[in-house]
Amino acid sequence: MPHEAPAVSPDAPGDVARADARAVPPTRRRRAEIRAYPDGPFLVRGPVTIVDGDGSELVVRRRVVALCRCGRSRRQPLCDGTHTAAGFTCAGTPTANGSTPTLDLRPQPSGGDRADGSG
Amino acid sequence: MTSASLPPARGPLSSAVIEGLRGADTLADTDRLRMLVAGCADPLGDDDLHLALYLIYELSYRGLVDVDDAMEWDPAVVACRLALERPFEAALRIAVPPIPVAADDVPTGLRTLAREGPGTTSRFLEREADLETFQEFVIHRSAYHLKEADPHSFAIPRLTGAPKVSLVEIQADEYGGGDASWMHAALFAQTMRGVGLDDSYGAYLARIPGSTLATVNLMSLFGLHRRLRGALVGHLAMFELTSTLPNRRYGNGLRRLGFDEATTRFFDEHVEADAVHEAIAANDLAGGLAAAEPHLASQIMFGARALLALDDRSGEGMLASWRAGRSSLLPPDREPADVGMHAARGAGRVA
Repeated sequence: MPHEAPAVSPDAPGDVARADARAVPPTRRRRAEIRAYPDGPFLVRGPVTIVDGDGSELVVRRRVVALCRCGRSRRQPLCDGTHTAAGFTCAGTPTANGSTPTLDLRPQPSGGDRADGSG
Repeated sequence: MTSASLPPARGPLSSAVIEGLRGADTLADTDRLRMLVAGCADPLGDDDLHLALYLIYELSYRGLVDVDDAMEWDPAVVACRLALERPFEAALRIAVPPIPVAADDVPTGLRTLAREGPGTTSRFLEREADLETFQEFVIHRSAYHLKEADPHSFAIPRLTGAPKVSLVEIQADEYGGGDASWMHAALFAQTMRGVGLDDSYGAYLARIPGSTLATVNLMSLFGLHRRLRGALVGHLAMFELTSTLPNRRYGNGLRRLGFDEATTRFFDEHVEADAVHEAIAANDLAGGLAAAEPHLASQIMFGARALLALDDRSGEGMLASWRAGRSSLLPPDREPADVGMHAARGAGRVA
């Protein structure tokens, strides 16, 4: 899901700050953005404080943080990528063309040994 | 030292390249080079070919000790590079036949592929590997991680708009987010020192087999040819999508062996960082590029699948050696006779 470039009217400079909010890098925005990624985590950009379940504030060093959405991460509340192996899908998330979230990628061989099977 | 030194040759191709880079006219006879390349039995992992290619590519990264920087664009060196790349790319196209994919399906297709990894190498390192084996693994990885993220940075000037922004967002994190000590290459150097290895650039190049160098040459091939920018983006996306679970296991393996947090940090950091990167890379970067340039959709998938194919081969080679109680690295100070033997063994493994 690419960032969408908004239409900006050059004739209305006074409105740019509001109308063009999506063109301002989220990390420079005064408000944070939480974006849901298809079958993946929530990505948080912008100024936030993240507090874990024990009330301790997380030390956040990076400008973009991934929050667990599948519930299986071992680094709660952060994402650790487990959703992929777990085959997590967010029910109700429509894909762009309405297809199911897995793809038939034949001639991809089954099993673990891709190199030999596809050679 | 910020550049690698020239290692010993492994056969006629690397010999010609090494002598040529030192100033001899060994690269002038292009017919001979082409003949040698054509005789290469396993262009996806040949020790000789992939050392030769790795050295030429290195001219576009850090240069080589005692080699003139101008060699990067010397016509004979460029012609040799193209002659070495041709059978490599041709073999990749055979190993990874094209699959038509709609631009909209690229992110889902990447996630589907990422779920099918074997993961046996990372499990072995987590549960069974002794220190010496873990050191070998780190040596293999040093061929890339001491210049981590650099190959994919070649895509930046070749993208525009939203996919470019997404790539820079990932790369900024790879390069430490404004803090040089958190640069992933610097964290890897810290891990190398932690497990008792020399972290100077290229220190172990002579020991790293072609099957591992091929995984790095793959990124350089994609990175240095604009026509392959889709494959480069697909490679990065698949790298990120298949990173978090193995890195957690590598970190666990080091903890099992008693190493401290400074030594495991490289792997731990990748669990957290790549959970972010994979979402951006699959959706905003690869999906964004496919939306902007739909004709690149199947090339994006090619780059992703090429990574999986070469990583599997490299990992299987390591694992087979370790399970047999052998070193997965090339022996130090090999005699020329060993070169042919090793190449034959390598070819036999994948046939």
